[in-house]
Amino acid sequence: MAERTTTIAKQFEDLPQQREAVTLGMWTFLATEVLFFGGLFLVYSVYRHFYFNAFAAASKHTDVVYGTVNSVILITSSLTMALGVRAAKLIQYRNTIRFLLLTVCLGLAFLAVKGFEYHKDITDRLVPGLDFNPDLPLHGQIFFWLYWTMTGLHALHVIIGLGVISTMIGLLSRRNGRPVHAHSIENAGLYWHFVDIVWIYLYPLLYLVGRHS
Amino acid sequence: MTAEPQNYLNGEYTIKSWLLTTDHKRIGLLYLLTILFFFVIAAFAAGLMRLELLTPQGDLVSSDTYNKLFTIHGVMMVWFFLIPSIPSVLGNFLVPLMIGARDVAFPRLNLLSWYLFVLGGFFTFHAVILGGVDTGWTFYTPYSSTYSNSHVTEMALGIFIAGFGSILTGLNFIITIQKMRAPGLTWFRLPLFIWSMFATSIILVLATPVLAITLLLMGVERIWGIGIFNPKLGGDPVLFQHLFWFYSHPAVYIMILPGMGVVSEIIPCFSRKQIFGYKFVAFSSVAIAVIGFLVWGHHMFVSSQSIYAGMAFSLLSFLVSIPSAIKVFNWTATLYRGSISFEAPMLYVLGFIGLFVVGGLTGLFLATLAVDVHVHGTYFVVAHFHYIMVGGMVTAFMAGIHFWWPKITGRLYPEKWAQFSAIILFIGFNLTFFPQFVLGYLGMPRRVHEYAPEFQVYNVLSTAGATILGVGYLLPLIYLLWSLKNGPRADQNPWQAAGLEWKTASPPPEHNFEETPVITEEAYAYPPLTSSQPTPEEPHG
Amino acid sequence: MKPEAPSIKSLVFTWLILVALHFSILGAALLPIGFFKMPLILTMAVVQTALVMIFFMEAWHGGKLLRFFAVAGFFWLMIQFILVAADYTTRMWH
Repeated sequence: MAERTTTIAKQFEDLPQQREAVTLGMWTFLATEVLFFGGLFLVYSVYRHFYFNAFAAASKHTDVVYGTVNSVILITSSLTMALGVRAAKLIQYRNTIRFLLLTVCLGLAFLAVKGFEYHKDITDRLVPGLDFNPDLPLHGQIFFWLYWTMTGLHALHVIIGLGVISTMIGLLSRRNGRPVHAHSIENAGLYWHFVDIVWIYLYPLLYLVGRHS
Repeated sequence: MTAEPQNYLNGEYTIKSWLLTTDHKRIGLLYLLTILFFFVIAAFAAGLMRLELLTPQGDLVSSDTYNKLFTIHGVMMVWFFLIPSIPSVLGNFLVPLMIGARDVAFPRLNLLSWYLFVLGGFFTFHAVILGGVDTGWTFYTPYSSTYSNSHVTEMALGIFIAGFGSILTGLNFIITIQKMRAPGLTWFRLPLFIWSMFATSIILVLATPVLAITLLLMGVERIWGIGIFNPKLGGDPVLFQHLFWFYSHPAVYIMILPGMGVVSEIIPCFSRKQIFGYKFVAFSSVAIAVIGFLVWGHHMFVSSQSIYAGMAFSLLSFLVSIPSAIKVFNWTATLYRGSISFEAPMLYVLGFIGLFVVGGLTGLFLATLAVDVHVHGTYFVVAHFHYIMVGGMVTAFMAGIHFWWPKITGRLYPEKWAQFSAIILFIGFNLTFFPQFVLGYLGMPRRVHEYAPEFQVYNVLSTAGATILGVGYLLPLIYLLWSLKNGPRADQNPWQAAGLEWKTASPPPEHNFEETPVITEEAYAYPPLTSSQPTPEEPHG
Repeated sequence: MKPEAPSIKSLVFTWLILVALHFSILGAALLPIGFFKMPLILTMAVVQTALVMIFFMEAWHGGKLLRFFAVAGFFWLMIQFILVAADYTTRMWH
């Protein structure tokens, strides 16, 4: 990523300042995302506290296999992303593109699995308000409402992340003399890892409530 | 007619150059125009309310309409006027100038912020056109999420979108201040306005996302009705209040901190004196931002929140008043033995100090659990927050607009008219809102369009005051606009003020400084008191 | 003059631990541990978060300021959780 050519935005004095500003900016943005998702986790915590049994009963109806498979897919995509960022820092264009492509493929796999899972959830009547499964307690609706909102918002962020990474791939492939800064790839990576971190909490909180063998 | 030098205003005149600008100065002006639009609508709603309240009977508007009026007033004043006012107008214009930078860290993001603000405002305005919302600006559930028949979702969508604009503004300022200060500009040489903007930005960035998710949840509840906030289905309406006030209390500090920053700039200038206790004021800004996150439960003392939590919140609310008090003491100490002159910015600022103290002290009344039980939901609360928001914040905004008007427009406003308006505003304000403290204490509830006859005399006083207050706002609008064409041209530093923004032309060139300044002295390096006092050019009028 | 980059070994090793932790979390959920289950699972999730932040996001190397920004969001979230919990857990006290 030619650090030798100057594509410094005119408000910055030099490249290190730009790099630090952009990275710090991304971390600030991630902090806002933590608080955004955090509100949902707060609502979850309060209602889990009040309605634990309903939550446990409802959680059993989530598909642990889909959930676990998706966890592994997402964590692996984080690895490929980190490897891509590494390649970018070592100015290895081709490897960067390869790893980013791999990340996008894994991200799409995550969404595909999610699609199958959502389909199954709908046919199992786990959508509150849409002929909700009568065997589940009333407050199980709150659980599933949270399930759909939290996983849906997460999936939206996955899609956005894939868009950002694809844009990076596009920029890298059509370089024609305009360098792509390693820190741009790095910041895309930060966003992707954040998406992974949200899932780290969603997984146990949604799939594993009250599951004794 | 001398040719005007190239500056950020006359570089390009096309609409496109304004709508696609990434120049922070132009973006600040775009915000100014937009917030003015919303201010007028919100003020008009308030005018109708005060008119209705002249008589005890509900005879001007129906109760439904009245509910919509106070909702429009609250929503537009809070989110579309107060929160963007100083940060997005003066902050955008001044932050890069004050730190010696060419622009903010992310200029395109800055423009995006404005577009998000406009888009959000459009949806909100559209909701009003369609018939408005009657929940109050606080959108309490389950009324907002289940029972109200008004256009809650669209208005919430508007606020949601505008919220992202303010998050991006805060992000921009944090990075700009952190990373783009001119050489030699260490943290403790920064103008206190920058410290205030930094503290404000911390709140913008950390609190606003919670508002976003809260509105999202309320909207989803409204559309799909699952029971997150509906007690009939197992939800807890108080949870909504926790989420809402976690943002909305820090939001009031978003609104007042920038105003305090303006005061900290103006007082040294018009006392010709170093600010007293620079570090105390700087750290107080950060303290307000941090402690401000710990007190939200004081809006919920009578909501069925745990009384033990209430005690904790009450204690914390007392604590948060301390840094504000420290600032007032330091401002006063700066005035002491200063060479004080009473130009309009200074008049507004002196008004701010008095009115903010009243507002702040009454806040302590409200933070006291036993008192709050009595006055919660009454006009006492209304008076308290208007003393801070209007007596404090709007007054500071007027002060700032006047102080930096020469820098922004290159023109001087007519000083006598400005001084007159400042006094009118002060009188009108007090007449409007002081009777409301009495009303609240005597038991008149807020958000009602009819009331017991014994309250009438105070309501009449209040409405009379509101008329005078309106004049106090109208006059600056007129003479400031007049000055754009007819005011005398301002030179680089008409106030002989300290600060980097005064070391470049009025109006500044697009790139702000001809060369990057290097800072070698402390902030507010006003010369020690001498016999001569600099006077600004005396304009005609 | 190549900038620093983490080694492939450290990245892959981190990934292995993360996957192992995922399955440990699953395992812990399936065992009848009782009271300590939630704290245990959450602790493992926090460890996963720290690993991602330190090794994948390089939060540690960026300097003190970066570390502060990285944890600020979580810290503020904790404020919200703690004070809301203060309400809900003490409501029924007499």
